[in-house]
Amino acid sequence: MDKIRITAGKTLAFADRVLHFETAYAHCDIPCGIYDPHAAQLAAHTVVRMDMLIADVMKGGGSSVEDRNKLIRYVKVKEEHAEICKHEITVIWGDYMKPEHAKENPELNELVWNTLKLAGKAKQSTDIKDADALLENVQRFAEAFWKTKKVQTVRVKSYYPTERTFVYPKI
Amino acid sequence: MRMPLRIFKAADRSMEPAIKGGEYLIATGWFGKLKPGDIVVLEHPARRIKIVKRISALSDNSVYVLGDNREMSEDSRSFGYVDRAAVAGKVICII
Repeated sequence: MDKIRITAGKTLAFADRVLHFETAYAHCDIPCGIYDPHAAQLAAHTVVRMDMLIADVMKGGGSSVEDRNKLIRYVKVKEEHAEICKHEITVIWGDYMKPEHAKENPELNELVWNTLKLAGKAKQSTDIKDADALLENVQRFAEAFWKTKKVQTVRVKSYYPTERTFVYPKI
Repeated sequence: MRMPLRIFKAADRSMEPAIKGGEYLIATGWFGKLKPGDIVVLEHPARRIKIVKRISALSDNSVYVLGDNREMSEDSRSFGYVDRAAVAGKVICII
């Protein structure tokens, strides 16, 4: 039986070289298994920081060419990092998280949905309250993520100029 | 129209231990009734690629598929039920 199998395998391998059989993927992404909300958290902190810097510029009027240049740069970075937030969270939610995670944490799907909405709002606005709301949701998402890994988390004051907190896994 | 017999080459690890990457799958498009436990090759609902999975459950016109190697599988847990019409063939032989 094994001999037949080996012969059939060799025959098919030869035929494959000529006919190029279609590939049936068992998995649809590279199954790297590497997921971490850290990048989303950093991006959310950056959004907060950009709103702080924008407020600083506006305190001085914000109308000089120098100020306008700064404002454009800050808004651009804020826009990009809010998008990074959305991307990172979407990838973790879509590729890593499964229905059983939502079952264990019934608030998960709504949390993701709200976070994506808040990222959009943080792009539209320069109100730091919107950026803070985004950051808070991203932190909660990070806690939810580590919970799926049965890893405890700790929320500590970050060493960034935002002076907001950061959720770390206790590994 | 489904082909009576098609040969696919398996890639990746989500169907281990039943199917290992590099093995050949002989599938029939004339499969009649499907049942839980059948291994099928089907169109990914969002991408233009074929995937191989095991049927876990069936409803009227759709199938719920899972990879045997759950940790490394993107399957109905992510993309939900798949239309039965997306099934290209039932695997009848793994070589």
